[in-house]
Amino acid sequence: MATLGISYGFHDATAAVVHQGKVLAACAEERLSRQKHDANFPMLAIRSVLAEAGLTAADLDFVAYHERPSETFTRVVASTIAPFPRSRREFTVAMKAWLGKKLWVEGEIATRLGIDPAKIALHGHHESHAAQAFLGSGWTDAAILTIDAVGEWATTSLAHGRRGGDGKPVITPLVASDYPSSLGLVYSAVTAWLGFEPMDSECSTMALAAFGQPRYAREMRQVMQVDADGRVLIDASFFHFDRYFDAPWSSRFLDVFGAPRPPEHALPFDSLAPARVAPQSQRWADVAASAQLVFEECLLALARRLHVLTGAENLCFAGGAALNCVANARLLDQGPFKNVYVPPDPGDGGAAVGAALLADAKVHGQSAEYRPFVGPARSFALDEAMLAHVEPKAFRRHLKLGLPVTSGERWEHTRYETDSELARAVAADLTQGAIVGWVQGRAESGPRALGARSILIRPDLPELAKRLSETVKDRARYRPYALSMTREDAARLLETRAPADLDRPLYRWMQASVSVRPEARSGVACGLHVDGTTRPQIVDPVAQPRFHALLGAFGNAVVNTSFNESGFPLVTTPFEALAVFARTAMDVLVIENTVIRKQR
Amino acid sequence: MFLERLRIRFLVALAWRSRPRLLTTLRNFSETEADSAWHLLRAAELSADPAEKADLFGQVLEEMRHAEEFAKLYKDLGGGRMKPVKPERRPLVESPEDLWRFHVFCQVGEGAAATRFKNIHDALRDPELRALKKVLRQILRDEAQHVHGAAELAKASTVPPRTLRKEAGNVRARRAWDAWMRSGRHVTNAFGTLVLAVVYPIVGVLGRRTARRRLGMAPAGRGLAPSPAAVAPASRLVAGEAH
Repeated sequence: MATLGISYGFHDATAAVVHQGKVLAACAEERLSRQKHDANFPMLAIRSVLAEAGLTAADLDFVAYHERPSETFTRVVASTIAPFPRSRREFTVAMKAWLGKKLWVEGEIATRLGIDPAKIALHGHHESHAAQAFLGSGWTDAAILTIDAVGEWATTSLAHGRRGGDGKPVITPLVASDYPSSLGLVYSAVTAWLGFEPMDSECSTMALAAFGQPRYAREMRQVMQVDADGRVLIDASFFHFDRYFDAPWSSRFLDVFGAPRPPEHALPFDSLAPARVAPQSQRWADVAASAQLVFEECLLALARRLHVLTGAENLCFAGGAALNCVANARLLDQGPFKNVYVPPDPGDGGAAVGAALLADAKVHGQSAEYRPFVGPARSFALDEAMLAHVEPKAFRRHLKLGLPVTSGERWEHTRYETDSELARAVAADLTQGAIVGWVQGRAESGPRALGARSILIRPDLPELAKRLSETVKDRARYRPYALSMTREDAARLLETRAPADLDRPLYRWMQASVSVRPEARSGVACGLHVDGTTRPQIVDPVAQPRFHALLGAFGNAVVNTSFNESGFPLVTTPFEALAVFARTAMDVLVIENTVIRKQR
Repeated sequence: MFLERLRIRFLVALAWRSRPRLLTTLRNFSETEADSAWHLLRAAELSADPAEKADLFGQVLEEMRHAEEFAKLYKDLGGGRMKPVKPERRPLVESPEDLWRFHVFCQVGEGAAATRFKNIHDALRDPELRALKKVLRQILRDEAQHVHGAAELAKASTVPPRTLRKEAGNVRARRAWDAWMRSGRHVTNAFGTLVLAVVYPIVGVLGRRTARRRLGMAPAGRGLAPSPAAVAPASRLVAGEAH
């Protein structure tokens, strides 16, 4: 028997199966529907996680949902009525969505899964985030911080997680901030003002911040603050949060920070080649830097208050804000906690995991660390016989737009019998400057590619990184790539206060940035941001023996980026990987122990 | 057929003068092609025949490219970066034994899409839309091959021709039903908008004050001013100063 957790309806619909505190499987709907941030009912994901766990819907003890829709509905009504009479459009759109579908979650789940509605448990959104962080950490005593845009009403929550007298975990809420006082919403509004997609491209704001100076920090501190009690304070006169996806800033925001960036206005920043830019572009970067700085200050203030309230040594941090690896680094370095755990998927997708963990813990009382490699391995075998029938020249007219039509290209595939042979061969490909697609085992849960669905290149050739950005990823130049490395290479490359710092949980899954030693930077230039930092993954040889062997054979860190094209989620199946390989200028594709190479 | 051609001519000549309508249509076209690519990919994964797999895989790449072409047109015609529609994806077939149904579905569906694209192509006169005409021409060539390929794959299955014909009839009926339901949803949507337009001022007048109080906002004014209670005295702030 097990518990199924579900989140859907806003973005990143996800399903997860938990049994006795262990996450058996988790999968975002986007990974199967190929629609980034897919918010639809996660039927494909539910089937996938049940199949991975060897269960059917009839085997489920509970189905846990990550939110209490009726409470969220009160917030939606209030926020669309408050600006009356100028919110008719927002009111109409919201009411149609909520009264038409979103309010009736229990009915939809029961109908689609064919289960008894009594088995459905609704948990608060921040409660789910807190459970995901605390129960997923495996710790028995920890402070819990959750920050996202908004749940039902809560936007930020401070809590304390402990074992109760009966041995079952107990999460005690301490302080909460309600909508519209939301650090997440402010950060997303700045993201929208910078011409990026809110609730999607916050990482672009973070990346852009490194090119700016926080010249607007004083003004930004008027926008968001944290008080001595650990409550978030927002001056809401800077925003129209009810118009969330359509210019959420007010005229006051424009008076202070200037005109927004039109999305079509290209940003001239390059993480590999810093240069002076026009004042207009520099202003956008400066506002990004200011928002990032003040967000970090608020995060530290919340952490310090939480430390005082709990006295705990460990911090569990979740919610979309926990994806901000620069802020996480500051939390790690300047915060009051010894250890920080961020779950692999701290955003709304992970809330499905949290809801399931919470329902499961109430019965079983156990918890185990939630690790990332719990995604699907469905349809995993690559049919090598098919490759004999694939003729690349037949689809040379159908490559990715903008790539030249190729001619005379052949595909050759080789199967390697041992991991060491495979590692040596792929390391040789990397050394020769190949762009390598790497697909191994179960997919990662969460947004980071961690060596299960990754694209890899050698890290010391900026021209190669440029080719990757232009011919495979369509990636903006101001966004840096990340590095995967062995622990030995990490000791050589990363600037930490003590060698033991390398064992910090946040360095396992690219969750915190860290400085690279100046003398080592030229050897890994493609994986660095303009400030000399990187977002490292120190690879665990037990969890990922094949990836670790590859890094060992290569003898250096590798650039590791998500295996996808721009606008698409990470690939899941070998066929999807093969489609990206065929369409783009990728040179080598590794699926388990089979290597396919383009011969030109 | 004549009515459909007339409808398309009207659409192209009149409705597409409105740029937002044209952009919505392009976005839908892109979505249709992306959806086809997804279904073909799933079918390729299901198939046990390497040659069939390879054939379907080639079609996946074509449909992905078509989706991309429409998205580019959307951008070039002033729509900016296209936000995909993201409908719920439901597999058409679940097992390798049912793949023949998928091939019949493709034959009918791609055939209908090809006819529609051809009618649009023939009706396009606006020089500004020359790029769209060119893309449609390329796509028409591919779709014709897909229809032919799907028919061949369906025929190659062990299913009797009569069953294939019956399934084709079922697919057409389902498509007609889906179109009818879509129209129904448009009507429901319009009715919902009307009802909410009446409800809005009532709820707004009665609930605005409570809503603003709950949100901690000033009771009046067009902007979202913070209530005095929501702003802490500067001396109590622990973040947002002295850094």
